[in-house]
Amino acid sequence: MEWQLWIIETLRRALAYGTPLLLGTLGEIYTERSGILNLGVEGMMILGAFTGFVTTFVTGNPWIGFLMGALVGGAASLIHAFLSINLRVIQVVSGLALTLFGLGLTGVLGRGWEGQPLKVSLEMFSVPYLKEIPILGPIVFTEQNVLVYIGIGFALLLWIVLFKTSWGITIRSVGEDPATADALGINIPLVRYLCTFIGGVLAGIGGAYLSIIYRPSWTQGMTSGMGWIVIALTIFSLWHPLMAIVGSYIFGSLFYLSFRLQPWVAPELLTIMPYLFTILAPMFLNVHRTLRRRMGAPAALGIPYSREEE
Amino acid sequence: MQKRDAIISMKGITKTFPGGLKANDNIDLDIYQGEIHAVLGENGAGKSTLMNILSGIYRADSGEFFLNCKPVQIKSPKEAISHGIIMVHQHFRLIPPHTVAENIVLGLGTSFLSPLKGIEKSIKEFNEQYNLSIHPKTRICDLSVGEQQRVEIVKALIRGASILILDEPTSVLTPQEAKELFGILEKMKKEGKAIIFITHKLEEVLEIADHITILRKGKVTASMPSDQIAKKGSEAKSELAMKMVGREVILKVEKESFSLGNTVLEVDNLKVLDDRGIEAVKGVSFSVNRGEVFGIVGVAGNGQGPLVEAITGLRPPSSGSFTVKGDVGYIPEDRLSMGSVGDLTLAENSILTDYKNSCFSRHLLLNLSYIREYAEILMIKFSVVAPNVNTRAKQLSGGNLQRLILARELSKNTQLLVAEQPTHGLDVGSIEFVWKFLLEQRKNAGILLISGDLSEVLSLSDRIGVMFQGKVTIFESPFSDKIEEIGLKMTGF
Repeated sequence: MEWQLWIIETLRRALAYGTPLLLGTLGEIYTERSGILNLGVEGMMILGAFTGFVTTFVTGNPWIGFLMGALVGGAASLIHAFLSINLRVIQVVSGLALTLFGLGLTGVLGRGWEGQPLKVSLEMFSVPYLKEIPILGPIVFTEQNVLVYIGIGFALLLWIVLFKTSWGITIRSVGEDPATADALGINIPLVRYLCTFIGGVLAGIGGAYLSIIYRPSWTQGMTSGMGWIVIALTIFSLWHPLMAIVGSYIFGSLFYLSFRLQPWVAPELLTIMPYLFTILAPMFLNVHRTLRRRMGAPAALGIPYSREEE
Repeated sequence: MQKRDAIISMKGITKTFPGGLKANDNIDLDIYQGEIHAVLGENGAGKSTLMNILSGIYRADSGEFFLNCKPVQIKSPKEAISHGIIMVHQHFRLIPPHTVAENIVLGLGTSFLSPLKGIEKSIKEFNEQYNLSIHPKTRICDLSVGEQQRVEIVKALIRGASILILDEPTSVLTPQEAKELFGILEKMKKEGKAIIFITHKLEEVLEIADHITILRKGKVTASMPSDQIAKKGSEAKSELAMKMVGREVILKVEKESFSLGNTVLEVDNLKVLDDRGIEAVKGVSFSVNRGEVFGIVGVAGNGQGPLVEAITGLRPPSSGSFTVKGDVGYIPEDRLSMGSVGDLTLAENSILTDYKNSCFSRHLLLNLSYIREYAEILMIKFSVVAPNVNTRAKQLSGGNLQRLILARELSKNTQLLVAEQPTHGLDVGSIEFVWKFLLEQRKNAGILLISGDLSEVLSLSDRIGVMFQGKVTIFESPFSDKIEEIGLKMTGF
């Protein structure tokens, strides 16, 4: 019986560990679906983490912390949006710059905040009745924080918007073939700005989650590569919000296991798994040509669009 | 027949591109409801430019539009669509991984939560009306080219097209698909739509069009109802063909004749597939000897591209064979992307195809000072005008760049020179220059010239192969009494 409890505990903790990954990945999925590659996720997350922490510390209200984290993450993403949409710089460079900028800025500003614990955080709770459901109850509805459910809610919402609504068709079309969308009267820069902004907002919330709930304190560089795992997860989930849930929780459980299995397995071995999966996923995809065309990267990903080139 | 008013008429449309090319020169065109109007012309005749102006993609420099006799402005594709003018481009504007319905609703402003609901019903209606079989839920990448074209047509109809422009609609279709397309167009005509059909294929135009307008070099050279032509018979057809390709004269080019040497290229029943996997070269045989220019002439898109790619080793032939004796020099059609590297210097570009030669490089290192000297000599010999050998290739004008490429390819010791549209887009002076050097090169090599310009081919060639729909018909000199026949062969008669 003990190993069953152990599995349930791993999965329960995977939700908590996977939630910041899920939020970031959902955002990056939207950004990339519109054709913008933003490698600044790590930078936006750390900015969100820092702002979230400071705001919560000062106001004593974690919700205001999340709000500010979201806004700062979103604002940071607009830098990338401006550089890649208006100035049409190389998006890889601009994204990397954003990551370095975020890490650097929070490193400087955060010196005085280091090591101070948050007095308030969001309570863990169990959902009455639902927690009684066998297996699912102890995993999903026992001792979780509310952001876990908000993350799943976002995933469902964003999935519906992307695949069931006219906005979703527009976003996906802009990422596949902006020239065609433009000819049909779609405002390409507007769509791309909005999607990049959504990416920044969600990365900001994901970052704030780290400093408010995950480890209620501020440490320099506390995102510790989560932004890169988000980039990897975006590819791994094939730019699909529902797949992002699966991927984030798998990787979340790996995070948890890397602590639990420390005596037996080198933690580095488990934390590199996401990257390994990310290498394997496109390889698997590329074996089959039609599969790649249907589920591969948005065709216009990372390519600046301008009408004159017609 | 009673006099009707045109649904759209264009008056005095003129468009000059930067660089001075007058693509449309004072063009008048009247389009009537319930009529298929064919706009016929060679590549570069200005038909696509004219239609891009009508559909709002380009702006005309001068000229007016009248929609149902009322003057209108067409400044953007959106405005054109609001007038009911919609163009189906030669390269479809469809998003391959998306479904038919998703492609059709894009930008339509349908309901947020169930964007596809009404569309599926409309697609069904159009399916019944025009006898199509489009499944709204199929992905575009799973459709054949012909089916994709039908999706484009439905996309236009749903947007309320009353004037439908089809740009080279049959160039991507199989004969069977083309027949089906004509059936659809006939039905649309009966519904009262106006259809503008752009093509360079004279034969199919006679089959489908009610009215034919021929453009040549940006001007209307003929415009008449097609039944007039049908009545007059074959003579009228040849008249029409000549109006399209032009009644060419053989320009006086000083041309000493060389004695023929050994065969440098032997092509035997060569078949080549294009990117779509369709046979573009359908069993072609010819040979080129040292001391002659063999000119292949044809309207673009009749298989010349894949043929050249096969001979230069860029594309494997699907069957048949060819043998090349010695080295091949190649002057590609696209001198900027294929013929040179824009960001490299002229010196670097001048050895691009010969850098392994022992005078340019030893072991791993390039002999830079020698390469610069060599490039300087080439530039003087071929009068390439540029500040110095360190200038980047992309800064040169078309004529100068072509001279540099010519210099490079002619200075190698090649036995066969493949020149693809070598004077395309050049000014008169550069054209003469290129011609002179090509003719001189016959001393050392055989030359395969591929061109869409009949007068160029007539003036330079010792023998001519006319390419039409993947096949080559060979004509021996003298050509002066065969010009008409060659022109007809180019258009498929």
